[in-house]
Formats: sequence, structure tokens, C-alpha cells
Amino acid sequence: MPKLAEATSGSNRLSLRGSLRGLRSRSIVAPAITLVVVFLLWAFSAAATGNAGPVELFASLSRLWASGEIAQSVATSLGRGIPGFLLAVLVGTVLALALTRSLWLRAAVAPFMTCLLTLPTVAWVPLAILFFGVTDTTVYFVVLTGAVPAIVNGLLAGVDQIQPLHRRVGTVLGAGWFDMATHIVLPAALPSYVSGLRQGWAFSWRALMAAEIISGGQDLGLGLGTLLQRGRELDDVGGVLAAILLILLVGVVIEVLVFGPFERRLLRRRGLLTGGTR
Amino acid sequence: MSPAPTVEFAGLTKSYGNSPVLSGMDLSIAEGEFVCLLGGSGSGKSTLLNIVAGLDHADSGSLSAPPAAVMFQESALLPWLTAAGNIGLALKLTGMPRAQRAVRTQELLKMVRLDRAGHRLVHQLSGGMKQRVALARALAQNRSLLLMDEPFSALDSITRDFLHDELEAIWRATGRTIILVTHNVREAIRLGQRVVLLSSSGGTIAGEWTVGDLQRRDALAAAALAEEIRAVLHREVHGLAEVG
Repeated sequence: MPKLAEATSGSNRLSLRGSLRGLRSRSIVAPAITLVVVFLLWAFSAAATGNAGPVELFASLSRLWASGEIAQSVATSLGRGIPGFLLAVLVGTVLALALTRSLWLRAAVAPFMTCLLTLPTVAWVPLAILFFGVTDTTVYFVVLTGAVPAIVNGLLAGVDQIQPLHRRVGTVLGAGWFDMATHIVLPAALPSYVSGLRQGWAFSWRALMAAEIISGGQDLGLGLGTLLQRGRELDDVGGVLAAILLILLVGVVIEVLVFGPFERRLLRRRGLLTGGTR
Repeated sequence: MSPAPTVEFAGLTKSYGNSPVLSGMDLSIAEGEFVCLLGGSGSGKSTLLNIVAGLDHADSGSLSAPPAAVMFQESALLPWLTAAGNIGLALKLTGMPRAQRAVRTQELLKMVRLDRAGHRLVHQLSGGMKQRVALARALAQNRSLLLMDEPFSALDSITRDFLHDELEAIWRATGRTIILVTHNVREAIRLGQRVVLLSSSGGTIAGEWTVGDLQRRDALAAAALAEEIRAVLHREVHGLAEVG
């Protein structure tokens, strides 16, 4: 009987591996086809209307690459975006764990976290500039206000969705508060927490770009938002398009290299990565 | 002289709202005894187990029981850990040093005949394997009292028979006191030294039977005892239906 169980499990592993390979090739080929189609349509439309098209975009990218401004602007923006996001993860996680400890505290704070999620982070930028001037503090302030509510809500949702049975297991195994939090609550809430982190990163990246665009780069150095703003001021459509593409690319690279693989691994370990709704 | 009781409750009551679940339950269980609590749905058998496990509180009455390990109806394994990880966590929470945990985990996996499956994730285990890991995890706590809440109810009959043999062997080898909740009369006679039938109407004891060597060895004797218990159980359940 164990042999039969092992054989069945082995064939399941093979079919899982096959579907993961399929998933991986689908996740590369399908978006690539969309990209080619969009560029072709754009090129035809640009040729017909005389507006800037892919040719101007690639010319600007080439110019910016040669001058070293792509590397400089990506490094400047990520140099603020990553530490700001990590700070938001720390603040958001500690705050969410504190909220799970007290119903009163949660009732007092959690609704405002949800309210903050609906407020576009760009709205904080003018206020932050008035308070802190065009400084790194302004950037970190808007990154935190963008990311923290999403991270808090993600972790709270995860904690709310923990199966009562898993908490009971922790109790009968003799887990105290700390062991319950680290061995049961946080691992059980992880999928939802990761969704919150992913959303938090997206919000903080948008907030960072908004801060760089509005501040116009004074004292903040050449970031991707500054590059975009400079293109607008110089009436350089190719430069604007190149900055937009770079901002998008950084977001996609972080998703593809960090959040995507981490979430897939997490779900696969729990036997939850089964595909769509079919 | 019979061994001293390790679990003893007297006059235990519990209600949910206006519905009494336990109404003055008295029971003594000796050290090393294997007792099966039998009853229909709503007879309070799981509530009783939860109270002994410390997961719920009685409204009144007295309870004396040592700290217990619990095995739930579903495997309740933590899906983010491997089979060995689930057992290792139980050992860690007992305070066992890391160096000893790996060795003890392997011993426990071997005890439930899963020594080659420790690396598997929970979703890669069959229903029977999950319950064996859950049993190993419960044994990892090294507590003298083991509470089992319908642990085999979701399994097919072949796997269930197989696990009955394993559980009996483990009980004989470890000498633990076991309270097993079930709604299956055959399972109660197969495993228990004593079968306690809970009343479906008021959360009291409707009957008690000792399972002797004769019933263990002889299928006809076991069937006769099962028939006798079933008759009382049916009376309990039908009586409740007539009242309802």
C-alpha cells in the first residue's frame, strides 16, 4: 500500500512539474505577444498621425543609456524606494501586530488605514513639501503614507482569515503569545500579508514617482520622476516616453524577480497553486 | 486494586445559550486506560473532550486531568510545514534542544511508519498519512493523556483498520491514557477497553460497557456487544427525535 501511495504521489509531482513549466512559458510568451501587438499598433498609428512613436522612444532610450542617465536615475529612485519600502514594512508589520492584540486599538485605527488607502498618495506631496521642504524626508513621508496602510490591511486580513483549527493546534501544543505569533499566526497569514506587501510596494513606488515629479528634482538628484518631468519641460516626447517605460520596467522587474516567485513558492508549498477558475 | 484515576470529572455542566450540552457528567478514567466516548451528533462528546483539553470551560462541576495532547477530527497539520516540520514544532514547543529534535522526529516518524516521508509537504500526504503525522505530533508532546476527536472518521475503511492496528500497538508500547471520541460503535469496541455512551438528550452517561478479551478475540462476541450498544444508542437517538 505505501508503494501505491508513493507512485500516485510521484505521478502527481510529474503533472505538477508539467503544469508549472506550462505556467512559466505562458507567463513569458503571452505578455510578449501582447507587447509586440501594442508596439505594432502604436507604430502604425504614429506613422498615420505624425505623433511620436516607437522610433522616437528607442532613440531617446539609446541617448539616455549612452549618457549614463538611465543607470543614474534608476539607482537614485531605487536608492530611496527600497529603503523607504523596507521602513514601511517594519512600521506596517509592527502596527498590524499591535492592532491584532487589542480590539479597541483596532477599532480606533483600522478604519483610518482603509480610508488612507482610498486617498491618492500624490495628494500628500504638496503638504510634505510644505512641512519638510524638498528633502529626502518628504520622499520617505509619502512612501510611508503610500505603503503602510496596504501592508497593515494585508496582514490584518490574513490574521482574520486564519483557520480557528490552526490556533487551536497552537494552543494544544502549548504555544504562548510569542510562539503563537511566530509559528502559527504569521505563517498562516503570509499569503495575504504578501499581497499587502505587493500592493504596498506598488503604492510606495507611485508615491515616490509623484514626489520626484512634483519636486522637479531640486536637491533630490536625478530620479526617474525627475527624468519624466525634465522631458515634459523640454517638450521631449521621446524622453517622456522613455521615462514612463523605465518607471514601468522597474515595477515589472521587482514583480517578476521578487514578489511573483516568492508568492508562487509560498502557494505551491501549501498546495494552492492550481490555476484559474476552470 | 485498580489504578488511580488520571482523569476524573464530577457534575460537569456546559450550555450554549439555553441549550444544555453536558448536564452533570461524572466519569473516572484510570491511568493507562483506553476509553471510547460514543454518542450521536450533539451528545456533547467533542465538548467534553475540549473541556479536558483546556480548549473550553465547563459552566460548573469539577475536573481533574493532567495536561493532554490532542488529535483532531481533521489532521490539523500546519500546511506551510513538512511532515517532519509539524512534529519538530511540537517538540520545539516542549523546549527540546534543536540537536535532539531531528533525532526524536525521525523516531516518531518511524513509529507511525512514515520515516521516508518526513520531507513531504502536507498536501503531498494522503488522508491516512496525514492522520499518522498528526498522531506522531501528538505523541511528540510526551504527555500521559492523549485525547482523540474522531480522528479516523474521514478515512476509508481499509486505511481506518490499518490505523486501528497502529494505534493499538502504540498505546500498548507507550502506556498512555487515551480518550477517543467516535460515533462508530465498531471502532469503539475495536479500540476501547471501556465504551461510554453519552446520552443524546441531556449530556449524561447513557451506558457503559467493558470490552473484554472475549470480544477482542471473537468476532461473534464483538458483534453481539455492538448490537447491544447499538440498541441503546438507537433508543437514545429515537427518544430524542420523539421529544423533538
